[in-house]
Amino acid sequence: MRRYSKREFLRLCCLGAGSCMFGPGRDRSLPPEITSLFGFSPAGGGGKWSTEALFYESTSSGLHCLKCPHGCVLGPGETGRCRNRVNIGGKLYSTAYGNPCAVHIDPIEKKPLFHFLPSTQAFSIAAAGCNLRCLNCQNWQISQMSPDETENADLMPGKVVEECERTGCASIAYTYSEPVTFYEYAYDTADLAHKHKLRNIWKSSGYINETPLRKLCRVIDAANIDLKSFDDKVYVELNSARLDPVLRTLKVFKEEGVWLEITNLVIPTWTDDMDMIRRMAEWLCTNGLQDSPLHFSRFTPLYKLNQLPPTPVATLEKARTIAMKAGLHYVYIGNVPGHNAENTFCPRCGRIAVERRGFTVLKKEIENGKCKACGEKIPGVWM
Amino acid sequence: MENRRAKDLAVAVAALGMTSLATQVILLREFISVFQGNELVIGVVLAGWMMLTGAGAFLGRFSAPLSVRPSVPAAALACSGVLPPATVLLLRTMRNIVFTAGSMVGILQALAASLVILAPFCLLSGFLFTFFVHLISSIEGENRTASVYAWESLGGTAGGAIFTLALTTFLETFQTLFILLLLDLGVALFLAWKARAAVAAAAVLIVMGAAITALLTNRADTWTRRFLFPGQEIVYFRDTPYGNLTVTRQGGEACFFENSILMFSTNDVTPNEESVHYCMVQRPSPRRVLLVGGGISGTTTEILKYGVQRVDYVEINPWIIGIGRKYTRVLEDSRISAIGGDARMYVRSTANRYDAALINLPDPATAQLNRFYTLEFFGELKHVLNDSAVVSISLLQAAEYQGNEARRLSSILYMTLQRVFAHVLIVPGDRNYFLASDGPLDIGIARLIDRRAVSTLYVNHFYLDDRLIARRSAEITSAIDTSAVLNRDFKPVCYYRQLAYWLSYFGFYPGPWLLTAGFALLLLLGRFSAVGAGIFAGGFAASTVEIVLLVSFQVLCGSLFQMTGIVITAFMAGLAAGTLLAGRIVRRPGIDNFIIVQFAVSVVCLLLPIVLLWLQTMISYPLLVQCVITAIAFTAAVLTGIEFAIATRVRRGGTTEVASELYGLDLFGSALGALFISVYAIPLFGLMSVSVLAGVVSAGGGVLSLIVRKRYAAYA
Repeated sequence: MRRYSKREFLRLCCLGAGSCMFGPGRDRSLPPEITSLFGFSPAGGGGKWSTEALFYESTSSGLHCLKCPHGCVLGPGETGRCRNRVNIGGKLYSTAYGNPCAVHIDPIEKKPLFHFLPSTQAFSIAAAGCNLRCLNCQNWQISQMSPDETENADLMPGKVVEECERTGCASIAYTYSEPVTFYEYAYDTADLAHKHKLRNIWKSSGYINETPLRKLCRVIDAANIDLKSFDDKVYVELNSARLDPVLRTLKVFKEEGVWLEITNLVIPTWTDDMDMIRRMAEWLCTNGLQDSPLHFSRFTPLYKLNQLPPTPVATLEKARTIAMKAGLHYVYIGNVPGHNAENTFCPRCGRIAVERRGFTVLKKEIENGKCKACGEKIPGVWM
Repeated sequence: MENRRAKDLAVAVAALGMTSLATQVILLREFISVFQGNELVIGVVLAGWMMLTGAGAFLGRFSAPLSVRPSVPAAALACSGVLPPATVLLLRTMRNIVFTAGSMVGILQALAASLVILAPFCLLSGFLFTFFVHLISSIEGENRTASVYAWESLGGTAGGAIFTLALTTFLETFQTLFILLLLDLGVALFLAWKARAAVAAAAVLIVMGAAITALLTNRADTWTRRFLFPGQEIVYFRDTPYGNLTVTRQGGEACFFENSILMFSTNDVTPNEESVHYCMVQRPSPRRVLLVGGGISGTTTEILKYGVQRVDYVEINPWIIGIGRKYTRVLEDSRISAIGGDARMYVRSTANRYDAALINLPDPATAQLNRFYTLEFFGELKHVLNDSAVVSISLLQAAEYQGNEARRLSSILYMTLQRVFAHVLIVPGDRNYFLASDGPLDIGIARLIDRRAVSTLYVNHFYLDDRLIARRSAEITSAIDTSAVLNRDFKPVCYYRQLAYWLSYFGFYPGPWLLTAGFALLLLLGRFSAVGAGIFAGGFAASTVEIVLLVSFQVLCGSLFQMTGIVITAFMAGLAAGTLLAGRIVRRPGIDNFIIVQFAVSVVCLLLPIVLLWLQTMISYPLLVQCVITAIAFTAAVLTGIEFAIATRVRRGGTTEVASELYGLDLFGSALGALFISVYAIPLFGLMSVSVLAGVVSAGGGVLSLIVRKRYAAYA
């Protein structure tokens, strides 16, 4: 048997590895058994679906992205935490422009938005990418990917607006993944939608800097922000983000007059501390958000957080009671089919102002934005 | 063995073998329970186990100085008994401290955790093998590696018989481990007494007292399990042969976990309704329903809304039916018949005919679950269905988008169903439900529910918009890859894809790791002798045969959990017999016979596909299948044992050098088999090809020995 020296052996190994890795070419023609082993992704991004990003500055160490509080500094060829902002040739590009990976039509109640154009449908789009890393992400297959790794539609802003009108939707929702990361695409689409008398909905974790947010408020009509907890430590561990920027986002939306609803997912052992929920509700009231609907949503095991039980309904009911005692006027319970707290109750007379079941409005006892029974103003955009 | 002290030490070696095998079975169950229980984690833990033990055997080369102290064998054995319960304690208490509470553990984390946690026990047991070889050989004045290997295997046989077949069925983890500890301490006391080591004997007696107290008070399991379910009150737990079952209570709701994964909770409307109504509403009057799994979550209540005559609910784990009866009322209706047993066996044997079959199982992440997603199963199922009956089976999918891995998995299931049924319809929900039937299927779920006036909380027009569901269903269906490989019993591609899907959670791609491991392996093997390489190939072939036999039995006869114990016991007995009887069977243990045995192993592997094909025609006689599979496991192990015994004669060098190299390489080969074969090769290439591969590898070892035959011939 021929004996190889160590040097010869290593050279052979390197050649073998090289031919395996680069020989066949990193393209779609490789069988999925091989591509899934190495994580090759089809070529994409750039070109048609790229646009120069807004909000960045050039520094000595690279391009400093100013869109979200992470403030990534990107060297040549590097991609931000959001997976869709790239430094190409000294300019920051968004690679999520006109290439949504999810395009659906949803009832607006599914966002959830209960006080904004009830019973209408929202033309909903998302491009791949997210600036958070939530362990329980429902849409991880698009949020934890870059646009290069997803199957995308070809839907430039003009086409989105056209499709929205064609399908009879009243609004366009920027949702599912994280619209902060496809800001440029969403902004241009929203701007065009306004010209066509369509409304725009922002469904987001609210992890964005103030300047881009204030600009965004010019074209957004309603927002639902996930306030994932009221504890900075939980934010860091569960979502890889911080609490304060999200609280600032809530205040800015309020100041800018955008209709705002808030979702809080109650996760056992993570965010089901009733004292934390009381502090959260008090902060909302203190900051003038007592009329912004708060949706307590039931957790079910998802993605990596699959070794926890679903939130007991009793826990959600307790949270709701605490939030209402703290002064919030409209507190709902979500993800519990048939629960009474899907309805809107008039804070003055206690009667049902909007009766809902699921995503369907059964009865609306509101006229000119006021409770039909007692005349109390029920805040919202009711058509 | 001639010498009296050597005989005493042989008892210690057998105790070590027994401890090692029983601990392996128990710790594997713990890892599955604490981490994610899929084939990859099992493969990783097993491979980690064998590699650490192999590394321990290599380190045993430095054990010579210890052999002069008479108390060392007793102390070492006592340590090997104490470490298993300590390991479980560490695993349970540290799980939610080291890793994020409630979050699944990634594959690299599982690998790192298993290496760290298993290291003390595995390194010690491997080290002790070489140590005992050195000690006994120096007492007897000749190389007794093969004898030690045989005694260790005999201990393993006893461990397999007593612990995997008997005790683990009836006792909790710590109870079993304390009994094992007491056995070890008994032998350690015996050794200390023989060696007149009073201090060691006293220490052993103290530990014995502590172990007896712990066994009698029986608090360890309850106490340690609380760490795994923070914030929940544990009202029931049991280590069943199919996995750990835990029932917790929180906020007035009960949650049922299997291996720490939530099976269901009370008051969870959506999954119960989706898994039943999408299917049941398709036919005007389904009378008889087959429900496979998930019957105590509340699905039976939903099925009964259709006024059916009978629901046959088949659940593989009879303890699940038990906790269902104890903690819920969903099985009380006289129309429900709960059957504990394997659903595939039930489908093959029942004379009943059904109008609907609801396959309500977790995703096919294991070979065991994959059996319910195969072409063969769907074919068998069709035989017990009436014309136009509807089948429902589901896969977990992300809400708004199907990633590449999810799409591949869906494609396999869709195309496999389509091969058997005329119509397949995907209904997107919290999971994607695949409905299959020879009759027409309708996506207008809400309309059908309204028409039938079935009372539901979630599956109705308030939540579901038929137009939007139809649109989404069409999108998913249009993305199906029509060239997808079908999922077969003997080529279970689904579970590979499911593992790939799971790995995509972590953005983990095994390719670079496989390449690195391959290079490391080549470098490692290059450093050893041809005989060592042959033993490596033998270890690989033997563990491959064992895995192929276990998976085949599962496929053919259902998951009789005792069969795993029987195959392991037969295998250990075969190793012991082969090593002990090698001298009688092979008169001249030289290189020529070593080569012949390697080719004999190869022949067994190459004949295996033919035997499996024959067994496929014999599935009506499960006892025969069981006997044949056990006999093959025994035969392969006898050959492996003979191969090992001859190798210890053929391989040149000092006793510890020979023992550590051969034992270590045998384990490394087995580790490669455990990981590569179970995770990658079986699902991708199928059982038949894998058997051939093992045969080729073993023959390769034979050819290598043939090439260097002259170097060893002089020593024969």
